[in-house]
Amino acid sequence: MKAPLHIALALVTVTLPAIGARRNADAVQSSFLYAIDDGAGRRSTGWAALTWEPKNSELFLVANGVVDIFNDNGLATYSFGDDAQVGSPVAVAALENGDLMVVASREMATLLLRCNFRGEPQATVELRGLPAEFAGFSPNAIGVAAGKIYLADKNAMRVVVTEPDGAVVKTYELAKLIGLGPKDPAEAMMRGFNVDRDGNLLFTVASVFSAYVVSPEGKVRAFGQKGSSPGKFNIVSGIAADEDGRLFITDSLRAVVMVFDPSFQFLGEFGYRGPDPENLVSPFNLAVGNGRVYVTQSRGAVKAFAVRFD
Amino acid sequence: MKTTFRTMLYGIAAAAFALAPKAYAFHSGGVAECEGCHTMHNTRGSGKAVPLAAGVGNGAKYLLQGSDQSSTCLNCHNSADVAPSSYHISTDDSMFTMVGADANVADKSPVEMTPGGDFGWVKVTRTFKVRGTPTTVEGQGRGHSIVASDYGYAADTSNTLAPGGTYPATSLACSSCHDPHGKYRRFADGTYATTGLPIFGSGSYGTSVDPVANVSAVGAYRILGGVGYQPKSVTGNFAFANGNPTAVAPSTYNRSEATGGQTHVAYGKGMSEWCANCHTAMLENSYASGVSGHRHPAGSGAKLTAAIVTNYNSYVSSGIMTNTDPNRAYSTLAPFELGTADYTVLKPLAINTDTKDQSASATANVTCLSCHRAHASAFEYGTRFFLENEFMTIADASNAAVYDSSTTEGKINNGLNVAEQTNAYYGRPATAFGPNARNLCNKCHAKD
Repeated sequence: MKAPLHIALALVTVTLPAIGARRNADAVQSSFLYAIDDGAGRRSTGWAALTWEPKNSELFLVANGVVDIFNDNGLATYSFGDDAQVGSPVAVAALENGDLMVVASREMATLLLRCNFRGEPQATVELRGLPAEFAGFSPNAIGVAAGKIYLADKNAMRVVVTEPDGAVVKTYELAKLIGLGPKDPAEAMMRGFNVDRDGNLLFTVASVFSAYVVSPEGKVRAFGQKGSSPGKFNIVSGIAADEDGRLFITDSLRAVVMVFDPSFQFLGEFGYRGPDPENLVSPFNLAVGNGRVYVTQSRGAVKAFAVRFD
Repeated sequence: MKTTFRTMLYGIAAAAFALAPKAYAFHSGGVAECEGCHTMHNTRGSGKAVPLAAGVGNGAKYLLQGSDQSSTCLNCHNSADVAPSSYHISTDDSMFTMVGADANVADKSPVEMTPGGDFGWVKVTRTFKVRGTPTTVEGQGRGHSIVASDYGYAADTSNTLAPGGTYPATSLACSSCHDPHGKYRRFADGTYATTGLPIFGSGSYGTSVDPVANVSAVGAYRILGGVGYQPKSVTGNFAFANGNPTAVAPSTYNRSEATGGQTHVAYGKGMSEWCANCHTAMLENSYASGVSGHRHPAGSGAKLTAAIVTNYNSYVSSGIMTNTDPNRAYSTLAPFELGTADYTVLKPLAINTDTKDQSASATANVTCLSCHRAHASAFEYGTRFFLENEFMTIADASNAAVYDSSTTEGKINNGLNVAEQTNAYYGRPATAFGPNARNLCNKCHAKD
């Protein structure tokens, strides 16, 4: 009786089918701007975590236990982490008042720290009101929208929404929500997570070649089609939205950044493997804002692109 | 009609989700989805999607979607994890400190804990002092240095040939050991071939399906290459002479062993012989104590002696030889082969709890994997424990076991901080070994 139940779940939750990618490739014009150099010689930061902070037009790059902050010209302006107080930052997001919420790893445990704008820890935030089934929740991604903190445990496919003081206001079991079967969620390959400014959860699941948008009310919209031609998903990875709701999605295997409009219409893609500045090597995480797209790669520096839409 | 069409698509999507456990599988014991690794026509509009020039980000040999074979594998098997997860065998560069000095408290190391280990360790080079003398342990000595240029893995420059053999380090790839097309299959009678019957599923796990005579085969353990296997990319005569090893693993195998039990891989038979396909001279089935010129025993004929069996099963921790519980005898930090190819014996033992008798016996034998991890580890030579020093732990002021946290003397901690040492032992706290624990050579040899 398991299969019919799953079918029912999927019918309820998947409100938009995985339609074929319709190409309107000329709708996106991209140009390579620069590769980020943190000034410390770390030219390769791998699949670093990226966060765009729109208020001050800053990019937060988290790699190797350090948070580096860059202005929108790609110049490093500040750095913190790499000490016993913070531990090793894993992901960071900025609150409206400039405080930083930092997911950090310390002594084999994952912590949520509230830091001031200098990255100095002000408090360790304990999650309060976490459901019993979320025991062992270990976030590895973070987002902020409308003053709420969104913590994602991509391996467990779980999201916890909290107030900045740690009071849990909502939880999501993403695997159940999208109708995945009972197997270990870690094997589903949830690779990308983000939250847009309206509080929609954005995430990708590579094993089912799909991207998802979950509204604050829990309404699921899914899209994506397996394949290796433009607009299709091969190993779908990072996801982020711009100010107009366009979705930017990386495919690590196809080495591209794909762009979709808010109704999931494919607008175009850029990147591709190769030796040229605009090429990418296994791209993963994304940050998008102010007409710019920042992309991490398995090898090499974060690359910045300008994008324009006709 | 649109609604009907959409409804149909919902149904298709729903059916796919309903079959999700199957859908997760990529290799499924044999050849995977062609498009998962290859670009068929290498097209990008009117141009080529992957240029022909060599170098990071290029590639296109064999129409691969990576700069080289291993880079293609790591598109899925590399991960920016903070804890062990799924089938990841390589922690992403962004998550750890590759070069550190004097046990920096903030240094951070690879996190994956598969039985084979995390390749990320081969990038971890640490400099520290031993009795005041600066000492460097290079990452490349911590395991198999696969070449994966998209992910920052380079060939070993110290061992340019396989120790005990001649396989070139510059050609070392995931595909040196694992047949990417998974052609080697096991039949119901235990024999292997590359054709004969269709592969119905993985043969790697305790929960795997069994092959059915004249109907189906299962994939070889970890889709390893078997007799005659030689990657197309390697020139010369390196075809495997020895066949696939017999082993099964728990289906969840990348996990901390701090609590809940160990990750019991049931090694059966033939692993050392299989390793000897490249490390030929390391096979030692005829060790004679007191006779010079031998290597440490490793091979199907290297049976545990009665004394070793007694030591192994009674060992609790350093100097304490009082264990009588057969379920607690086995250590995944010093495993052995059971000396059998009987899957009815092996499969029930491939579990994640210490609830079954996997104790040593006279039919068991030493294998290369008794001391080494197949991929890499925190320790030189990819060993499972630190055998370069006598102590794994020390004692604090209250005589409790702790890992050495010294930032000025690295003889014991080898430049690894406490969290890294804990990681190195797959989450085990120092108390799991006891205070002033001598290394785990003593699990068998009891010289402590």
